[in-house]
Amino acid sequence: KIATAAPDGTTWMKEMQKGAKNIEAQTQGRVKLKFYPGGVMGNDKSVHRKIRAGQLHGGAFTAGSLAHIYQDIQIYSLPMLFKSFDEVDYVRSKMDMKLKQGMKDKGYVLLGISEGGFARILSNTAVHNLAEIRATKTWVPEGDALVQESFNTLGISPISLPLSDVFTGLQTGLLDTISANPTAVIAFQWHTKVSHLIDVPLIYITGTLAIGKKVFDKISKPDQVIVKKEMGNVFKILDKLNRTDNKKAHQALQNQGIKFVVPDNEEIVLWESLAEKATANLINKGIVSRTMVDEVMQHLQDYRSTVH
Amino acid sequence: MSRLIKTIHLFEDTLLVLLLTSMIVLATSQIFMRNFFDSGLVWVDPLLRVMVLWLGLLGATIASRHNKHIHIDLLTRFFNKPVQLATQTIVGLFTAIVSGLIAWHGARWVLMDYQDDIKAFSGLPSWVLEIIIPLAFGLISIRYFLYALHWCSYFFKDSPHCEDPDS
Amino acid sequence: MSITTPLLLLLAIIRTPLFAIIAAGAMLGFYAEEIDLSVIAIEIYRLAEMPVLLAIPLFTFAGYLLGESKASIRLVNLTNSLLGWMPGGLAIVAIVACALFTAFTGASGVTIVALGALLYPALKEAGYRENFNLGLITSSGSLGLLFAPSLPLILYAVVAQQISLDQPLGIDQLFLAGIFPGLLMLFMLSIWSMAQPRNTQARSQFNFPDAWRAIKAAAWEIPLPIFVLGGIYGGFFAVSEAAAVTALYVLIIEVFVLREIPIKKLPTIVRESMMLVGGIMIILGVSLASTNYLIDTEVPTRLFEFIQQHIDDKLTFLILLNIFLLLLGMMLDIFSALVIIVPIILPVAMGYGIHPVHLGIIFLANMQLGYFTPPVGMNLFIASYRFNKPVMTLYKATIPFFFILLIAVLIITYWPALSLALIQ
Ligand code: NA
Ligand code: NA
Repeated sequence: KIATAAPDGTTWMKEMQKGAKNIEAQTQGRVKLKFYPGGVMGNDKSVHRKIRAGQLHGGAFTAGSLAHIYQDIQIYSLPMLFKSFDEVDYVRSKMDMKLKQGMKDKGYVLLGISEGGFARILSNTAVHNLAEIRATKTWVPEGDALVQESFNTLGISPISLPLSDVFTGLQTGLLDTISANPTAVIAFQWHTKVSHLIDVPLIYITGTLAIGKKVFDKISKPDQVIVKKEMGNVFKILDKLNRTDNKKAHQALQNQGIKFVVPDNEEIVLWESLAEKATANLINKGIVSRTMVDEVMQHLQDYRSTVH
Repeated sequence: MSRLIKTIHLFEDTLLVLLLTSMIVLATSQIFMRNFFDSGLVWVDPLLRVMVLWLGLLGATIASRHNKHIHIDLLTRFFNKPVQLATQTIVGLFTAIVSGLIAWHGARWVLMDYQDDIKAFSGLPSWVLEIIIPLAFGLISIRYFLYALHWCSYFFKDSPHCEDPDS
Repeated sequence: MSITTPLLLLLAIIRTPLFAIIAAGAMLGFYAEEIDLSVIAIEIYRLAEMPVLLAIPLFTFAGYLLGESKASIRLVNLTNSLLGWMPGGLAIVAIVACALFTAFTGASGVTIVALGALLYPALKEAGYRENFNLGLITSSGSLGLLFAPSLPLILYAVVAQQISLDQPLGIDQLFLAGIFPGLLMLFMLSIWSMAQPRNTQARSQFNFPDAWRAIKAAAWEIPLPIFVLGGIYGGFFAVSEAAAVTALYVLIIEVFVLREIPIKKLPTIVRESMMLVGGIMIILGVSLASTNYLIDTEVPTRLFEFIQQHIDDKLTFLILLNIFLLLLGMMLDIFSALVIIVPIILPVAMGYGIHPVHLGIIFLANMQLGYFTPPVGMNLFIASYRFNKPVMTLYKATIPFFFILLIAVLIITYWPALSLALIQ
């Protein structure tokens, strides 16, 4: 029994259901996956409580909402960490396993990590640089310490609201500026309320499917292998689909008439230096661990030195 | 005994007034901060929401002093006195048992969160916020048990009054 | 399930608190599914995870304060000085004043008690028939239900947000959607009032000094609707924050500026208002648990499949829905009906292509009738108590109003654009 905020009928749900069907067939019905889409089981915290109480067995979470269980699960979301998808692919090929192990130690089996794409800054006021963004009311997802701290370092004092209040917030002027990945912007209709997009990949977002380890251990070993393999495939497909979907959505935003702002070099240097500072702050405040950040940085360096 | 009851009533009433006042103050100052200083405290919004839960359950606990909970009454007005006594005794016992079960299972949950040291927001332990559930339902359970006792006692006295225990 | 359901239903109609019935149902369900019963507490705790719920205690408190102050007198004077000159003037005054007052005080019967005392003798003096007066006031007691910031509108949004929807559903959308249907009801009742025979033909003239005096007297309260709606739509605050501002403002005005409520009385007002809030919240909490059980066992899906086999088109569905809601409104109070029934019928209604916001307006409009539908409509009893008339007299007096508003409900149901025009 797995809860997710993704509505029924979305690509995500369709692929999951396909995977569930394959698993059921291959295990002769010993393992069945039942999904509760659309957030009907409550928010992430509520889902965690129900997993602990045993009513649910797993859930689809954003990395940020698993941070209170295992802080480094959000390591890919360090501000301005990746410059390209190639860097993402290289680092993830080295690190995904490690994150899965980290979650396992905390009692959750991660069946996969899927790409949510890059969050960029969007606003309903004409913003071209950091100074202008600072003058607007900027949203951060409620309870997301990483984004909150990163924005603070950038000099933006953010307004924290639950996801469900963002649309109304933009509509009423409670918020001017948001950061989100392109598919989310379109799925939540936020694109109808913004006019400018700062075309800088700011934060790499991931989502996961986590199953309580206790339940997972009840499945026989051979069946576990089947589940992991099938779900691994689903996540490979989702990763690909999400990447193309996000690229398409990014294009669609431009076609909608949203003004794409590309900051000049000087501005980018400023952003990068502040992002570095933010990462240091995140380590100091214990929001992510130094060892994991160092490891990611090492992989990035390795990659960058081989390419250039 | 009646002194204890009075103390509990006073405690509930005071807490209720404090909760509502601080909610109004916190919520309005948050608006003020946001509109004039473009800032706000991160912990205020989640705290306000927990206060709503506390306020609601406290209000419900106080409502059970007088059996003032929302109910449907289609039949009892047609009953004669002994039947009324019997049905209201059953109503009281039933509500006491149901509330008691919620309190019990709620307490198990709160204890689990306490043992596992689960955090809510801003490092606050979850159990501190959740404890209102077993407390409120525990009190409601006791009150309805007394309510049942009150009605049932009329079988043994020939008092003509059939009123709420507190009135 | 087989024996317990009738048993619970029997308990429900002999004054057992509804929260206990709902909780018992949920616990029996979870027990049968072998789900740990601590889930009940986990679901109740979700009350602390719905930002908009904050609006409920704060608006309720503000409403109780207004009810305790002399705001009702000022409101009647104001509407009278502005609308009294119209044909059927005083009756229209009563309708408009009741609607405004109910929107703010949450249809808890306060309207009849507070405004009825002023309007009933005034209507009598203006020469209206006794039955008309009683019927008008009894049925107007729930008239503002569709206007912001009425509690049932907020509660519907809260409940609907728990159900998987394709698009986000905001309270502000419901606030907008209620405007035209609410006005339709006011309009139809006004027409009926204009057509009433009267003993005297005296009609007050519009008199500027009087109007100015009434405006000045109500100067502190006039900003309230502007506050609430302007604040929300102007983007100054969210709905829950509008509630906080309203509560603080009303508190300061009635207690410290106008000094109509002594500070000594505040704890009592807090307690009384929060008992109502507690009664609603505890039912909402346990019904989250029962809804969760229904979702866990996929009851709404199966119910929809069952209904779809028997009802082919939207129109038939709507007719049956109206009948069902009318019956429901006679038995259940609006808050319990909302939290118990909406989670079940909303997915079904959406399957028939009904917009969730439109369903909300249909639901509340039907429930509004339930307030004065015999035999158990709450407002009938409040009016009977307040005016010292037998309930049978009120049954008779409200019949024409029932049919007028029934026609309004039907129009609202079958003309979705009336509700949805402002939000699309
Ligand atoms: Na629900
Ligand atoms: Na009713």
